[in-house]
Amino acid sequence: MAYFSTRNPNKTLSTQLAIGISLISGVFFQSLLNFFSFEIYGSSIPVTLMTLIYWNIALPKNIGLVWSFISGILLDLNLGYFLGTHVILFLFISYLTQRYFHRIRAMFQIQQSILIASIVFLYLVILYIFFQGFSFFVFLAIALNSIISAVIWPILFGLLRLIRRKYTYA
Amino acid sequence: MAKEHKQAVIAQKAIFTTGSMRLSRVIPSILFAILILAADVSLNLGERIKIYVGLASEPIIFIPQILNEGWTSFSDYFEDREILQSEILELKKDVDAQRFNLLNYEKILQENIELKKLLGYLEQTTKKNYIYGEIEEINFAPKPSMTVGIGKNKKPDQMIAFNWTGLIGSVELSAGSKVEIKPIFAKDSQIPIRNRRTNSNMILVGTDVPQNFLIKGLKKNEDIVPGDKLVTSGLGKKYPKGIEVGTVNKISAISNNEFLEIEVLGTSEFNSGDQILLTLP
Repeated sequence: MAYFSTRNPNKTLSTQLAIGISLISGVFFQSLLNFFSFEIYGSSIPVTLMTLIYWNIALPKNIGLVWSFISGILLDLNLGYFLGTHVILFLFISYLTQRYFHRIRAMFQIQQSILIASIVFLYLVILYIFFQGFSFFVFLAIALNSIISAVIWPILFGLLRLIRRKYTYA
Repeated sequence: MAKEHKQAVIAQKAIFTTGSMRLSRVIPSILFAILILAADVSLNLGERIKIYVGLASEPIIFIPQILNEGWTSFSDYFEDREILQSEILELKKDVDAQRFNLLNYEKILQENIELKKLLGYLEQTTKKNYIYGEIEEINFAPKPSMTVGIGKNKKPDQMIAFNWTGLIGSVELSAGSKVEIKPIFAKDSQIPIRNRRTNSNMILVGTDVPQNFLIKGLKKNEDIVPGDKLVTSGLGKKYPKGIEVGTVNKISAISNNEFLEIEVLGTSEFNSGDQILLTLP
């Protein structure tokens, strides 16, 4: 019972700040990638999504609909998608990761990376199918981005874990 | 009963917890997002929001642009610096090459001056046979000598040697393409000369000291004063006639001796220049 109910009220604000700042930084970083054209056939590494997945796995009690909503809207505005595109995807992915966060936490790092690659792959495929257009080269680019995301995941995981340990109560 | 209920709640939370998200909250949120999407597609809502957000957060939007421009100017600075450095290096190489050329030019100029002087001396000889050579080695100990390189198949025997300052000696040995010159100031060297002012003949004797000669055997009543120019007399036919060899420097008379002791300062500098003219007297 203690695990589910005990919260340090002094740390709640800093937890929300850590989540918010990391997500907004992810949006900013992804916008920078987009701005400097560090993209493979129009798709770049979804840092915001990966950050959101981390917080959903690490602090499922603290990250709710609001952060998925805010980060999705910001990403839509920055990347020029229709408003709500990323919101729907982020809400859906957040729900799934929170639903199975126990299992994901228990996974080995490599298993997590494969899962992240799969999520990123599906996310990019949906984005392209519904909002841009799909071809063989796009498929290759998405596959490559998924692999890169899987490689980056342990680094991002370590970085965000550092932030979590330092600035949140968990 | 109450305890059992509590345990059931804990177990339920532990097994089925989905963090702060419940499907009952997610589905309306997704529906709301779909509504926003539809509104944006039909009313172009996003464009308007972007305009307002853009106006409100103009400085933030410019950050990537500023970063890009900053990075461009930063890299340009180092690129320009690199270009300038390579240009400076190339210019330094050019300067070195020009310095080398200048040294060569000065050397050639000096050689020309020497050769011009040597041609002048050649005019004063019989011009039957002559050889040009270059100094290879000069020694002052144990006895003064000079080695001169000449072409092969030359016969320098009995020739005398000039450098650009004047008569410096005579050929002592020759082997192959090399010649050894005995200087005129060698101790056993005797040069027939005459005083240009009085035309009186005398013998110039070497002292083994460069540009330093003695005249011996002149009586105290001889007409000779410091500053008199001395030239070769051509007697003995070892040296050509009329070549200046020195100037009377100091005359000393010893009381119980009837002869004068005269010191002469030689005209030519033995180790000067590079070019040597060997010619028959």
